[in-house]
Amino acid sequence: MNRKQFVEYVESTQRQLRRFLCALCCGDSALADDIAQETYIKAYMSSDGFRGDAKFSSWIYRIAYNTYVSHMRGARRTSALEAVAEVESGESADGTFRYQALYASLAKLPPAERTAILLYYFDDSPVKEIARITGATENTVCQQLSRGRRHLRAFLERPGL
Amino acid sequence: MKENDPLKDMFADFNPPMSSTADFMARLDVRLDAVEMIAERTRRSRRRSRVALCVAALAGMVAGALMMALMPYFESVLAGALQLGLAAREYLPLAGWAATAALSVAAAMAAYDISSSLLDRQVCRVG
Repeated sequence: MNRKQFVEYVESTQRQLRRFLCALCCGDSALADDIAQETYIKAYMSSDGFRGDAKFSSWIYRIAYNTYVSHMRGARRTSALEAVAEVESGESADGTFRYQALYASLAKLPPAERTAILLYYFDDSPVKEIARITGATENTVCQQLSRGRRHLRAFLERPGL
Repeated sequence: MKENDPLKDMFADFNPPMSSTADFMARLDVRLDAVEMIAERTRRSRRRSRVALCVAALAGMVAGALMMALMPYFESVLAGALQLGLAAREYLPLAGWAATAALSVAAAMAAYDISSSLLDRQVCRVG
């Protein structure tokens, strides 16, 4: 894959990927952008290993997920996530805080459940593909989806959110 | 499965504020340039060391062959000059082989240094 082709692929996928990462990072769009940049650089460096028969977006999501996981392992940003979760929902009318309730609910989900939910709802990815991206089995993904949905609904229905 | 799912509508509306696509692509472009530059330098450096290694091996072999060809001459000159006895003369071939090995290694190392510095200069002139 040459640079021109790669840039075309990036242009077609970056918006969706950044949106996904922004939700995965619970609204930290600067961190989401950094992870997206790192993802594309990693992808470019190993683009010789990309098989044309696979979907470019699946391949990118897999790299993004691994980058996110290693970043979280290294940075231990849990305190920041907890801070997001504690923001009062009264500010949700403001444009910046529009998704605060969603971020707060997502922050309470374990990363694996959050990833499965986001891939399922954002990208319309089938369970098989989510399993491929996250490296889990299809059964595990089904359980994560079901648990994640239940948790998310419970958090969102809580009074005050 | 997603029909009548309130979460589906919530995620469909999700459009968080993000930096512009142009900014993101410009930043990525700069980083891709840096990646390409480093990759190119690594490629050149590998090529350079391969060539220098070939030159070093060739120089070592030539030096070794020359020493081997000249060994009988050196042995007779040394034996005559030092007026060695028969017992001492038995050790001359051993000393000759050791000298051959040392000279071959020295020639190979010198050739590696010279060729890599010459190739470095060539790269600097071109790039």
